[in-house]
Amino acid sequence: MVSVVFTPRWFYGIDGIFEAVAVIVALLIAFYSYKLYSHTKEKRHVFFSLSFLGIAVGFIAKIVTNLSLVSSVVGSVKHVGFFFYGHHTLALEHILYVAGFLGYRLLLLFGLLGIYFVIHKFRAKKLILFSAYMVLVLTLITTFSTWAYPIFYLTAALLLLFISQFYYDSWLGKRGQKKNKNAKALLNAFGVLMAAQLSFTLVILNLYFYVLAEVLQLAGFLMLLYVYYKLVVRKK
Amino acid sequence: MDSLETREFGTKKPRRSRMDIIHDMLAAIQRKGGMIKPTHLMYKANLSHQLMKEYVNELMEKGLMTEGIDDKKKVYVLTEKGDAYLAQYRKMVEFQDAFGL
Repeated sequence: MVSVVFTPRWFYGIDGIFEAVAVIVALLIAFYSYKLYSHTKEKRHVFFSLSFLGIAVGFIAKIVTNLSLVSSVVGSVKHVGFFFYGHHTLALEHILYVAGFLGYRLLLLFGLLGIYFVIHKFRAKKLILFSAYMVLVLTLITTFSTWAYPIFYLTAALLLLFISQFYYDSWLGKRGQKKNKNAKALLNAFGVLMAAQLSFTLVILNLYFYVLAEVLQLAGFLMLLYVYYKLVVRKK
Repeated sequence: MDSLETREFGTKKPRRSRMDIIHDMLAAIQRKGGMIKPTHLMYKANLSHQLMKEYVNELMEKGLMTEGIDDKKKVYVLTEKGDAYLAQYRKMVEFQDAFGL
């Protein structure tokens, strides 16, 4: 059985540290949104909280999967073309990889979809359920396909584009959006996260796109952390 | 500052939530330099006499404001806890507005 590790060997584990930062930032936003919900009892606040919680749990699934995978193949890695191939025979590890990556993809996409619906104030339940169903079907049917990787990251990039567009409108006060001075920082953060997803799709061309994507993803979450710090932590 | 209630474009402004009323009362006291006469509070927070009494009792029980005397007249005084509550409320509104919630 063969598992493909889309990362340069020297980067093993470092991506896990980067993603741990993403987990912390997503959990902070989820927790504060829930605090908001506990005061307002507004459903959109709890959905926003659950969306970020989903993203955090998704990244945890990815970290655990990558760590277990890397620890099992790191001793037998070969460099073939653009990829490192790790050969191992334990079916359990393969199942863990498939389940972990599937969990990560589902939770990240549902999280982004949730953010998109909440900020755009969607109320059409049927459309929301249909979109969630489409994401579920798309993720499941591509699970064992070689297209799983690029399709997932392109979908994530598309959702991040729509989210970024909302903050662009909010920054400029366009399309009925109320002008908000913090929207620019959020536009930058989600824009960088979108660039990260696009970089992930290019990993098939060169492994260093994985490093670039991880660095961009870290930068995006650090930007979100800055917005969180500015709004919640900093004393005025 | 906007409230934590739902604000949608093209719709009538919704009723204030309990949290918004509490904020309006405490903010009115703060704007008056930390103490306010009962009639002024009623006017500034846009409340009936009965409703204001209920809220005042609740806020005093929670330690967000106290009763005091100024120039031989009864006044309501904002406590440190009330001040902190206002700061927390403003942060929540800012977070909500920034993320477009």
